[in-house]
Amino acid sequence: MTTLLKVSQLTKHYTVQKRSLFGSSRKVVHAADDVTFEINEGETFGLVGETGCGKTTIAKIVAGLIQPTSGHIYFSGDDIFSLNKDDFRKFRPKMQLIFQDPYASLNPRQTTEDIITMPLRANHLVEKRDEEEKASALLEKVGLSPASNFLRKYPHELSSGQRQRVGIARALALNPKFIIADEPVSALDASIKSQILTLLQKLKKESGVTYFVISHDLATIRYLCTTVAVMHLGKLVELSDSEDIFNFPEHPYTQALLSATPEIGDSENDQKLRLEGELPSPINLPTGCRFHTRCPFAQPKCTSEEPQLRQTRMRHFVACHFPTSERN
Amino acid sequence: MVILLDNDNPLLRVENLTTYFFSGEGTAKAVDNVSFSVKEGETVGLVGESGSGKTVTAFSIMRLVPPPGKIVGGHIVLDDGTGDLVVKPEEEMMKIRGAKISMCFQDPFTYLNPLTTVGKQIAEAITLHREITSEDAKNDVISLMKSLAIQSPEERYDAYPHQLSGGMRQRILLAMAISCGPKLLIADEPTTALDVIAQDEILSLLKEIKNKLGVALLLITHDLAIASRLCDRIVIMYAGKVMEVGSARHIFREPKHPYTSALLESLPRVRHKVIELKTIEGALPSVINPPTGCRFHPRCPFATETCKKEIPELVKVAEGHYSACLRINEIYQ
Repeated sequence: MTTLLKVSQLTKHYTVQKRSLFGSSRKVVHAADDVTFEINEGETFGLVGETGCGKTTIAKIVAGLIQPTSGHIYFSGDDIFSLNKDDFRKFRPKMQLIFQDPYASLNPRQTTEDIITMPLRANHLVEKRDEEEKASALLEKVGLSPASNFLRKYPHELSSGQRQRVGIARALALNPKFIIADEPVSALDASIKSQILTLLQKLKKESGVTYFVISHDLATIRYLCTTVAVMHLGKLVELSDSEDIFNFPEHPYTQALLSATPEIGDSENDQKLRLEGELPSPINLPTGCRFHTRCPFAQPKCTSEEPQLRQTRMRHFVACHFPTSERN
Repeated sequence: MVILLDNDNPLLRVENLTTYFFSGEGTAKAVDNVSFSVKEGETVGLVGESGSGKTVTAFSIMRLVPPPGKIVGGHIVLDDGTGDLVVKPEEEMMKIRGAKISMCFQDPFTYLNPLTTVGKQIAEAITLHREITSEDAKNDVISLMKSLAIQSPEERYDAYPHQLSGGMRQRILLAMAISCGPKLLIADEPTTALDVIAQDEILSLLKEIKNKLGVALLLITHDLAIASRLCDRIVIMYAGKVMEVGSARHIFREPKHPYTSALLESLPRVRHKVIELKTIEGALPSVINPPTGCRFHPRCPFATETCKKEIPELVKVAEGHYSACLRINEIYQ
C-alpha cells in the first residue's frame, strides 16, 4: 500500500481575545494538538469526534484552506504548505471536497451546469463547446439522469438529495485522487441518506478514489470507512481498522461514544459506559490526559502524565495509560 | 372513519386531525387525516422525515400552529374531562398549555430568552399557573433543577442561557415543561442539536422523568434508533399521513408497511457492519402537490395502478398493529 496523505505532528491553535471592562486578555484555543496519521491509497479513512474536537480543523488544514500553527501535510510525498504557487495549482485538482450542507455550498445564482464545470473552467480543462457534454456525463455518473433535466436547474429547484449529488459531481469533475467529505450525509433525511452513502461507495469502486470522511455519526463511519481515527479535544485518542475499533475499542472515550449511540433493538440492560461531568473547554484543558475528568477508569497517573498514541496490537493505536486490553 | 386504535384509557385521542397551510403557492396538506392515541404514562414516538407532518401534529395538539396554518378538521381530545382542544377558546388553551400538556422544543437556544436568567424563566412558568410567592417559586425551581441532574442549581439559577452547554439548556427547557406537572409532555426532537454523549444523558433523563412523574410522553423524532430507545409505541408518518402504528416491537421486528420496511433496511448501523444498504429511490414528495392515492406510491417497489388511485386506510394487522397499505396481504404473507 502506498501512503497518499501524511499528516505529521499537526497543531493548530487559535488566539482569541476577550475584552472586558478591565482590559483584554488573550487566550489560546487548542483546536488540534500534535496530530499524526497516514492515509493509504484506496482507503476510506474516517475521523470521528464530538462538536469542537477539532475534526473540521484537521479537514481544513489537510485541504490547504488554513495554515497550521505547526506540523506538515504531505500529499504524495510533497509538503503542501511549501509548494510554490504553480505547484499548488497542480496539486489542487487532485484533492477535492464535499460539504455538509449542499445548499450553502452551491452558488444560488449558477445553474447546475455552471456549478459542475466551474472547476474545469478554472483549470482551463474544458472548451466552451464541450462544457455541456462534460456536465452531462458527470450528472449521469452521480445518478441525476437524464442529465438534460438538471443542466439548467438552479440549486433551489433541486431536492436536498439532488443538491448533494451536484456537490459530489462538482468534486468529481477534476478526477481527483483524494476526496474530503465533511459530514456528507448529516443534513439529509433517512431515505435520502442511504442513496448518497451507496453513491459514495459506488464511485469509489469505479474510480478507486481515496476518501477522508469526517463525521460525528458512528453508523455512517462504520458503513463507509476502512480505517477510523477517534478525536477528543484536539487529540487523536484511537486509530485502527474500522471493524477493530467498533468490535474491540481500547479507549474509554471510544467506548463511551459507542455505548451512547442509540441503536434499534438495543435492550435497556445493555452495559453502558457513562461519563461524569461536562466536556472541558479547549481553552482550559485538563492536565495530563484530556479525558481524565470524565473517565471512569482514571488513575492518579492520568492527571499528571499525558498519554501518547502507542500500539497495543496489530494496527491498533491508542492514547491511554489503561486501555481495555491492559485493564483488569 | 374514526380509528380508536384499540387503546384503553387513552389520555389523548387525536382523531382525523387535518392541518393545512394556506400559502401563495397553494395549500400544503401538512397533516391529513391523522389519528392516534396516547395512554396515560405511555411513551409514543411520532417518527418521520422532513415534511412528514410530525412537528405540525405536535403544534396542532398545543394549538400553536403558526399562520398561514390552520386546523381544518378533526378532534384532539384530552380525556381527563378537558374535552376537545380544537374548539377551545384561546384563554382556555392558555390554562391548558403548561399545566396539562407541555412541550419541549428542538433548539433550546431559540426558545430561551437570552436576556433573562434561566432560573427566572422556569419560575415564570410556575407563577403563571399557580398562586405562589416568588420565594417559594425559586425554591421549587431549584429542587426541580436538582431533580434534572443540574449540578450546583443555586448558581445555575442565575446563569443566562449563553453561559450553559447545549445539554444544560435542554434540561432548563425540560424543567420548564414539567414545572407544573403536566399529564402529557411533547418533546420535539429534544436531542437533535446535541452530541451523542449529551443526547444519551437527555434520553436517560426523559425516561427517568417519565417514570418518576408518570407523565405520558409524545416524542417527535426523525431518528428510529432514538424512538427505539424510549418508545412503547410508534406512529410512522410520511408526507402528512400515518403509514403504520404499532408497538415498538412490531414496528422494528415485523414492520407491515413497505415504507417502514425500506426505511429500516436503509439505515447504516453502529452495532454491526452493514455491507450493502438498501435504498429508497426518489425524493420526498411535496405536500402542496402530494401524490394521488397512497402518498408513498411513487417510491414504493410494490406499487400498482390501484395504489395511484385509492387512498389506503389504516387496517388492523395484529393486536394494536395497524398499517395503511393496499397490498398488505400480498406483500406480507
